[in-house]
Amino acid sequence: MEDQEIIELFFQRSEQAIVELSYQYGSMMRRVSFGILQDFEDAEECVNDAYLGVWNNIPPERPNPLAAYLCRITKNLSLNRLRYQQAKKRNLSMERSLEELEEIEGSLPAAGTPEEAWSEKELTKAIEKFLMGLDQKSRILFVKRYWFLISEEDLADEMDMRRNAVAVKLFRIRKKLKEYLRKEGVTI
Amino acid sequence: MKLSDAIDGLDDSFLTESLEYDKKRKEEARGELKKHWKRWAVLAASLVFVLMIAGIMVWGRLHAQGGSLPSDGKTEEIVTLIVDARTLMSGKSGEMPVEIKAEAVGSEENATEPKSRVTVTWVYPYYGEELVSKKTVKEINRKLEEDGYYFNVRFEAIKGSGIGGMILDDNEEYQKKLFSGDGDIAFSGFCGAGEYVVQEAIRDGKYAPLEAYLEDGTAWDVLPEVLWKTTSYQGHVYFFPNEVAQDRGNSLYFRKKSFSKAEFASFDGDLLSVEKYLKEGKVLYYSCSGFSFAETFGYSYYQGVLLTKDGELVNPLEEERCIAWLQLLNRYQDQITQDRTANWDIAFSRSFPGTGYGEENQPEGSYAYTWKGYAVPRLNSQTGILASSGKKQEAYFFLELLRTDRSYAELLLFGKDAVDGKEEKHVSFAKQLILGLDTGLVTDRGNDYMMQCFASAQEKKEYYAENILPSAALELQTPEACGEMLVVEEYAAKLIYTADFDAVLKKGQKKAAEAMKWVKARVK
Repeated sequence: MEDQEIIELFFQRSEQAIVELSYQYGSMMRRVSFGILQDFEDAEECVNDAYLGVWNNIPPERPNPLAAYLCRITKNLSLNRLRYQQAKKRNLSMERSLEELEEIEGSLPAAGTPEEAWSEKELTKAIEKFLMGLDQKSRILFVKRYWFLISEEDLADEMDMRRNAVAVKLFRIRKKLKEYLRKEGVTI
Repeated sequence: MKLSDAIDGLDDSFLTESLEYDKKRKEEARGELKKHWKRWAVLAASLVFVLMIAGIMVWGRLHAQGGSLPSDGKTEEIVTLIVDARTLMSGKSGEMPVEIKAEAVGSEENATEPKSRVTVTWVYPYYGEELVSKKTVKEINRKLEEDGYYFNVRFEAIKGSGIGGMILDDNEEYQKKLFSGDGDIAFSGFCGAGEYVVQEAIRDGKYAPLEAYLEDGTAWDVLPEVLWKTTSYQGHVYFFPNEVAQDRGNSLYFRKKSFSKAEFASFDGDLLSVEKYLKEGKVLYYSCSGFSFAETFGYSYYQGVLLTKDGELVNPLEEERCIAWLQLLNRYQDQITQDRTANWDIAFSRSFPGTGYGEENQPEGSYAYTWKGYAVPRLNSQTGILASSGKKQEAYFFLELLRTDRSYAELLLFGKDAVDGKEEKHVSFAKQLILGLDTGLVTDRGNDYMMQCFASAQEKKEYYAENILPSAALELQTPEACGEMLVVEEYAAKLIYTADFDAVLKKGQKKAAEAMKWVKARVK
């Protein structure tokens, strides 16, 4: 079923909408959630919460593209759950991914005053510009690692690469990003 | 503000691209699986059919012998019958395939019998521009025919998925396409430090060793022996050394306007003592990546690890002299520049000699203190011959021709119109890199060059003999282990500019120590 047809079902308040959504995007949403929570049961629950969230938001929303919208909802719910559980569990892969980004942050000059610091939106735009300059595979690798928070090991599997090659490629992308952000004069 | 938050806000199109990629990959996997099952189904059906035919033939033979079951010694006959049936089905003789060896190629004067023309295909990554024009290829082939060589050449650029079809650094995709095609001459790819797909490809037997061709040919003598070592792996030469990967001695320049001759003469070569010479002007730190300075201490540096003269692996972040050097740079971080045009007093560089851009080798008005550099392995961005080629000899011959016959090299590098004087001679860096020719040896330089130009092969060999040593890394045959050590370079760069040297060093040492364990477990 096409995305627009699924959305129409939501607008008609038909429960079939959830069935179709689950059939079409369930595994993708579980993967996003599992990448963060590292627990199948928790991921399943989060995905169910996400279905509920979608049910509540559509209508009035008409998300396009639907897949990206579902990823965002699932990611946010999973991150909330992770924060809640953080005292009990640790997701080492995700921590590592955030550490990698923090290393870049650490290398950027600090702004003299809070007003001088780049806003989140400006920084997002700069990162988007940087990503557009990468080849497609590198761009996807970056988005999978730092947006979807997928571990290097799983990335190797998904991208048909050796783990070492994934690590090296990410290292090079980060290095380029660091240089790019410095050149752009990003301060935080 | 956090980088992770900014990434969270990426436009949907980035997420969609990633999701589409997964979808496409799954569809491809499903398609493969279908094909796989189809293949097995056809095979199974063929087998049943063959066995039926064989059964009929066996039954016929037994029936002719009076219908008795095979006695001892008949089994072999039945097997032969089955093989006969298979041969009948496949239309093949059942003999093992015979390897077709390429015939030696030279001019027709040397040929003992006429040979038909074959075409050698040269494959390289698309680089956003047409490296060799159709007009030039036509002219090269016309010339080859006129000169009596019985092969043509064609050039094939592999396009990537990047913007405008450029490969950029997506080397894996390039390698995949390279090895699934039918090329003869091949550029080995752009993979950088820490990526070892070329070594893997060599181990998988994708490239042909060149020794047999080099022994009979003349290309070996055109280049210094140590350069051939840089493109060798596990005892075999696999690539023609690329000019762009030229080796350099190391130099420390003292600007005359800031130093007297006596001051320069008092420098004893101890790099750590250079601090006392630093004056008000800038310190130019030019093209000194990694730990190249460590060559003054007698080490060679290769992808994260220092190697002693005896080939012992050491961690640069634990070596006293390396740390002292980084501390020195850190103390003078405000004075360091990478701008060659800055008002510098002292310059550290390994690429001033011959860097070119039309300048003299040595910066004008300076004294130079020089020491030898080390040649390290280089298998990336080189040109070799694919093992799958049926025209290896022809491929080798063309590569040799480009290094020994000026007219062919000029045609390829400048293009037909430039050779005919219709446009300016111009050597692009892309051509130097991707076609890998030694432009300094066989051509007049155009108006754009980056490498040191040697007037002759002999001059280049003499420069190497005087300035370059083979590094212990050339013997290090498991370099993929060193990919883990890239963390060392990262920390070396951080240490020069950090405000908290000790803390960063400690963190770097910890990471490097972990990587060293990994390396030591793999490197013999």
